[in-house]
Amino acid sequence: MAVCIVALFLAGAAFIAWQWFGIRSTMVHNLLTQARMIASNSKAALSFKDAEDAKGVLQSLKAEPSVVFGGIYTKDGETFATYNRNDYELWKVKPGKLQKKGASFNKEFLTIFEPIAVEAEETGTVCLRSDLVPLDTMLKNNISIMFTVLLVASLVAYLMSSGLQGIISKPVLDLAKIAKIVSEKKEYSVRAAKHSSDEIGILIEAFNEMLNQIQKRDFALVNTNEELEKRVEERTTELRQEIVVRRKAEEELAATVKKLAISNRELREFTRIAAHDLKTPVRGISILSDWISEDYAKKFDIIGRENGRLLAVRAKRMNDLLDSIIQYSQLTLTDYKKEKLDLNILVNTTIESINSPDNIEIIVENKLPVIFGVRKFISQIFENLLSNAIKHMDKPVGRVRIECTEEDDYWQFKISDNGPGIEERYFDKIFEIFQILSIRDETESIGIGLPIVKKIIEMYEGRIWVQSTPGQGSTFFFTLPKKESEEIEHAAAELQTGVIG
Amino acid sequence: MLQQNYKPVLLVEDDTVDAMAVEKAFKHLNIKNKLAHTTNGEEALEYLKNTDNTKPGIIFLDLNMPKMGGIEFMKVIKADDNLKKIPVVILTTSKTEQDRVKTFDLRIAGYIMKPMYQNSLIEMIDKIHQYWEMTIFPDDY
Repeated sequence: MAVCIVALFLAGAAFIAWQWFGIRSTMVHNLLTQARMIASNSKAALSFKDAEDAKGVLQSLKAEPSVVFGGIYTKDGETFATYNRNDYELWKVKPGKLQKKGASFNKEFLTIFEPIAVEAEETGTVCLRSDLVPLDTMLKNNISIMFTVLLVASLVAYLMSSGLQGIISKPVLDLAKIAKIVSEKKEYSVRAAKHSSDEIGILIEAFNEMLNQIQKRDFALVNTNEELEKRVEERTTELRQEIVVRRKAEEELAATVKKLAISNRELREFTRIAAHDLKTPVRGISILSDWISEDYAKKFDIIGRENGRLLAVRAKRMNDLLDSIIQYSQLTLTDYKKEKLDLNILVNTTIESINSPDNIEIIVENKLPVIFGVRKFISQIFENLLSNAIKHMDKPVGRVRIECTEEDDYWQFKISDNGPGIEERYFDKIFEIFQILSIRDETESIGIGLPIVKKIIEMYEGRIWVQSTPGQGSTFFFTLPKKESEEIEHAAAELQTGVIG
Repeated sequence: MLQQNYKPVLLVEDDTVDAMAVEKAFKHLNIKNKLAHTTNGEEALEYLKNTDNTKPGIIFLDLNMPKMGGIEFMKVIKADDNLKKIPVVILTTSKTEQDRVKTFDLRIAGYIMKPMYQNSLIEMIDKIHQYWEMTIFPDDY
């Protein structure tokens, strides 16, 4: 709107200025023409020095209301004839100020000087002066008109723009406002009001349709969200319950494990004490039977002496059995010192301590590893297996081989001999407690050696098994896991003592 | 056994047969030292505290006895300035590591497993006798 007004104003001002200059030049032109006419008409009067004539010529200026003064001067500058408009008396061009030719404006008047010439000889000067009334009038009129037009145009423009605003801008701004509300407040239920059926109206319709869609989607989304949340909550509740149940089960399990561990310990302790206490009377039996045999041997017949001997043998067997029971029951990883064991050294020490007969050679085939364990138990494994091989050796030249291979998680050991071998149906039986494969009286063996080895290996979570060809020999395989024995000791300890953690 | 005055040997053993076996061994070996027999730690302490009795040159001590066992007995005498110097040899059926550790901690002079056979016992007593025979005790023992 302001732009409009400024533009109009500038246009108006420019027009007025143009007009002003135009009128001025027209005025000059007109006055000059008049001056020239008078100059022409007063040539004769001047030449003949007829002042009356000249005056009469000047009188024609009356017809021009804006001319206030007219004067004819001799070429010397002396006043020849003058004319005044009625109200104008004041100024007469002083001869001193006379000019020959020219037009000039001052604040109040336009003054023209035009030379009078007869055949190119200057004879005098005409001076005309008019007021600026037309100019003023024109200016006033034009300015008024301009302002009026400005006003009217502005009004019209204002009305038009208001109207247009109402038709174009406002709906668009409204639309923008609504869009802003939608995006800021997430209010999808608002709609733009449609006021017209033109392009704006179409835009508004499309906008509203879009909002419809958005609202629907939003609604669906919220629904799905709520649905999901509900499901998550249900599931969480389910899971929580599951956890409670599971935790309870775990606690019960832990309690049971603890009870078992305690029970194990008590059982071991009981076994040890019982076996130990049983040994005393057994020893008494043995010693007494000794004395009886010795002191009263002469009084016995051959059957008596044989019975005495059998009695002694049985007493000894019982003692050995009790010793085995004690040894077996004490196999536990707790309370025993675990250390790094270099098997090369340990096995060789064991071989030396076994003191094998000259006809049996025991050879370690390859380098043995360094493992972590209880010295007493690991030694026992090799001691029992080697003793067994020696005890049962039936060949004139006995060969026992010890070998070790490395696997990912464990070491695998192999002890093979060229002894009598074992029949396949007994492969498992030999590891059972107190199972002996020959008649009891013919052997001193209790049958605890291999079960002890098996128990020790299983304590370390390894495996033991045998391969054999009867008549040719046997090979005992066993594995010892590599895993950080600390873990095993710890886990086993928990189980044995009932102390968890 | 112990040359100068044939100091007595104190046997602390609750089992009749085991005690008889030791006595028989002494007899068989013709050991001159008197064998005093008490059946548990308490009795043994009484015997030692009794000034009528000569301080034994060696104590054969069983571990598992009623009223006061071997280890308890040892703790008492080793705390006694007068009695702590008596050498103690354990004669027991127990092979357990704990017993061995505890008794060694109490500074025993020997730990022997009671054998099943009389002959073995005689051999053992003989060896102990021959060994301790060589020791010269202080005058104010």
